[in-house]
Amino acid sequence: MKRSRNIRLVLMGTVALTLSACDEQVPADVFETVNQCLADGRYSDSQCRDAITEAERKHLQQAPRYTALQDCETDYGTGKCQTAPPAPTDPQSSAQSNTQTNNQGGSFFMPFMAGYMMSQLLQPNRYAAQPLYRPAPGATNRPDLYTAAGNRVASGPGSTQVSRSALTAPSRPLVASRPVVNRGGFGATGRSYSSAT
Amino acid sequence: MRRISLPERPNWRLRAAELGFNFHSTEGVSYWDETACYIFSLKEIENDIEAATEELAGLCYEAVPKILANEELLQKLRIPEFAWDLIAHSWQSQDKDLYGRFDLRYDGATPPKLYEYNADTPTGLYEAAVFQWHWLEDIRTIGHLPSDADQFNAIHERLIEGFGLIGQQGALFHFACSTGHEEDRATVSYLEDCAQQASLDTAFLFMEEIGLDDDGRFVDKNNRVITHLFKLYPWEWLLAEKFGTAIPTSGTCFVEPPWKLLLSNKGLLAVLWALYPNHPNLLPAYFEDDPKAAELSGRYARKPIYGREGANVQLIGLNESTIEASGPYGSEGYVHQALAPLPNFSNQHPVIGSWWVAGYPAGIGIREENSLITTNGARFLPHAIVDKEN
Repeated sequence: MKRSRNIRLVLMGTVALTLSACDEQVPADVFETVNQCLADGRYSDSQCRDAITEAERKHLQQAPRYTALQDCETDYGTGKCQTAPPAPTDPQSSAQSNTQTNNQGGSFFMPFMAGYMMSQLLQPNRYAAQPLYRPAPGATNRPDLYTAAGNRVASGPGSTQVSRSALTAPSRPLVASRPVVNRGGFGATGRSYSSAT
Repeated sequence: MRRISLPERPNWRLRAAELGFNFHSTEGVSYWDETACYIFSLKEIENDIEAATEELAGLCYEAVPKILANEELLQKLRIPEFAWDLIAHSWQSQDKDLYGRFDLRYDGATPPKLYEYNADTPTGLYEAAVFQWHWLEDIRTIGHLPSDADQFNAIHERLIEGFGLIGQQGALFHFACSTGHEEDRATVSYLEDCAQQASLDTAFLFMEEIGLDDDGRFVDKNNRVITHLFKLYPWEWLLAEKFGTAIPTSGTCFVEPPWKLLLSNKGLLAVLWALYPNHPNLLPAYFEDDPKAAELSGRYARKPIYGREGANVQLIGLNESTIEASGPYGSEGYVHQALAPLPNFSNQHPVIGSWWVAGYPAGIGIREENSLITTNGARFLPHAIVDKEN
């Protein structure tokens, strides 16, 4: 057969796909430290330690990243940010880049991990862990614990319910904190021609 | 290969609306035409069209490093000098190409011939990948074609595969086109759809909305850095615009990648003929100022190096006359390509648009026109593969 077996469209057209498991609410446990998990008593030693290891690993990949320390500290508080290693998504590490430096001439900044949540996966005795962040008190956010994608999870340690989609790794684009100097530097030719293709 | 008349599906416009295909008609004149279709045998598809497409793609990939090694050729192709390193780097890094469309002359009897390669911003994607596929499903159900009729069309699957190879999980993939072009916007929506099905996160913006920050990175409306950008916008325009010189140091991964610019202009036709003279799938072609152009004996298509949709193409020496299509292109120079007039099927002239996606011959879309030059007035006709006499 020389043609596609099936064609499914998620964006185009009027037939909307129902999101199945994404929005389901599942129970999760929130801890600020591994000792809180151990003291809780419901999880084994290795479950607690594996979870925080996984959360820390995801933290390095997913934490909100800033080009300026000052901007990170504005959002998360003075002394609450660390230097971030370059992630695969940063232009700095793409094959095509030349030297990428920010004002400090170094790398990027991210908040410390403020806690983590554990939630049981579909298989028994398998748990997913996600890092959590606590923003500085401010006008727009309660200083609660949030995932890297910005889902509010809880005000502090304990049991809670989260949407299943909050358990999956979000995309976390780099925020350029420097004010943008220019826009409109592309597109002028397209406006004067009837077709770009 | 033959062209047959067929009844239109009575509800085809409704089907189009359901599938988001809203640009099928302009000012009452329909671009999508299902009053007829082309029929091929499987042998014609596989041995002729598919094989020629694979062959031509290979010649193009071989030509890229040869062009890069030859400054004179880069100049003849009018590639801006500041972009030479960008292009070389993107080729050496093996930046992946997603897609392109080879426009072929094919009549069912002689080897397919390359008219040109739309390597950067090929059009006609949605109708080829999606709408003609649905047409076949409906037509088989209705019974106008046998239930085992097939179609050379795996474009949709290959696009998803391509995005899976190019995108990165967890990284945002931006999609952009120019404002004011409804068809471009719809095409980009479709590609975003494919990217999402490859589990990528996507965001759309118009070309004009792209910003450049103090650190020389491209950013979107929310100041998120653009790490991956699919652009339905030609490379030669990008490089000539205000932000063009910022591209080499931006760190953005582009689709199509910069090296595709070497293949997307019609100077490629002259380059290929010089590299592979007498190749069965190529037509003789020369740069206008090449003395060897005289070998075409006054019968040639004169094509601007950076032209689109047949604009400014002249057919010279056809029955002692000249046919010309109007347009704004030509200032970068011309190539001359031997005249190989489109075949005649019921007084219509079809061009086979053969899609190369994610490294495979993925399918075809056919456009036909009354005229011998295929312009943006051409209509899109579906096709089917039928091997039994019916």
